Amino acid sequence: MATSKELSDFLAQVERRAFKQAAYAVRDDHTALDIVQDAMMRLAEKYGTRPATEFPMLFQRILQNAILDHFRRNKVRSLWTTLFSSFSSGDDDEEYDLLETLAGEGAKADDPEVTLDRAQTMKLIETAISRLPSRQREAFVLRYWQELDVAETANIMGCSQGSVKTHCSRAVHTLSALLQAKGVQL
Amino acid sequence: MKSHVTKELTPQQLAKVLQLLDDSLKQIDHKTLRELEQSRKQAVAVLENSPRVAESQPAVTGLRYALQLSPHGNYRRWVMALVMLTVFSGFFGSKFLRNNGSIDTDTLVLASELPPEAYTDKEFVAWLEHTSRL
Repeated sequence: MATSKELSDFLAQVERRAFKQAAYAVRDDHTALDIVQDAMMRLAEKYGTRPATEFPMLFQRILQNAILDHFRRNKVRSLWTTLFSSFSSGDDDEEYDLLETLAGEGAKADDPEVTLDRAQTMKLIETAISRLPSRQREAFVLRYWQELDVAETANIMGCSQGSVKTHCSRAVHTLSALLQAKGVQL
Repeated sequence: MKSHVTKELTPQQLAKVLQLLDDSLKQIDHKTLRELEQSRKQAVAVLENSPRVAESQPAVTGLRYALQLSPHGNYRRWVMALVMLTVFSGFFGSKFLRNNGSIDTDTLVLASELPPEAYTDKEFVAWLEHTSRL
């Protein structure tokens, strides 16, 4: 059974990433804070007595569910599908030509020769991640940023390991295209 | 048809993206950090006040408390327990003996007053055995 100190230490360790993760998904800091708070409370209430070693997986799953709950509650799924409509027809697993849709953006993008400072690059990357289709973003964040393995990511996302690999691959491809379109030199 | 070539992110570029994401964690404003801290404290308070924790802790503590003979007077509990055990065992033991003894005594008294002919009367012997069982 975890002690309150173990819970506190764990939350202190993950709260910033959790906030960013939620913010990328909902694109609103205030809502992201609410979601993280909700996830923390759920972890403490329902799983607080579980061993501390189980916290990372449990918390990630709760956080993902909290994000989904937010969209379900507000019935704004159409919002992000509309926002992503330039990238996809709404189904993440469906094939689409990202580059064709980016053609317009690419023309409007800043001159590639312009050197962006670090803060701007960071901001652009964050924006690009928040623009990834939801499943791609989840897979990217969990697999690469949170450094979970494929099986853990699949468990949290509730899909097969093959789907995780597909989402990750597409996420990297999409991210690369978005950053190139914005003239980001890495 | 337009043709666009997109380079995949190299592992180094991906690492840089992830590094920048890590760096972005340091850019979170103080107000947000305070709110996150507050949320964390609330969650920990929920755990500390949860019934499961509240129930389990005294049980464990009580067991430890009872089992250890600390110099803070816990021996009194043991003495009290021994005294109670002695009193209860004496009470129930004497009651048990009294009940068994009374049967034997009654039989003896009754038997001592019987004339020798009674022992040859089968019906009386049967009645006596029946009564003794009661």
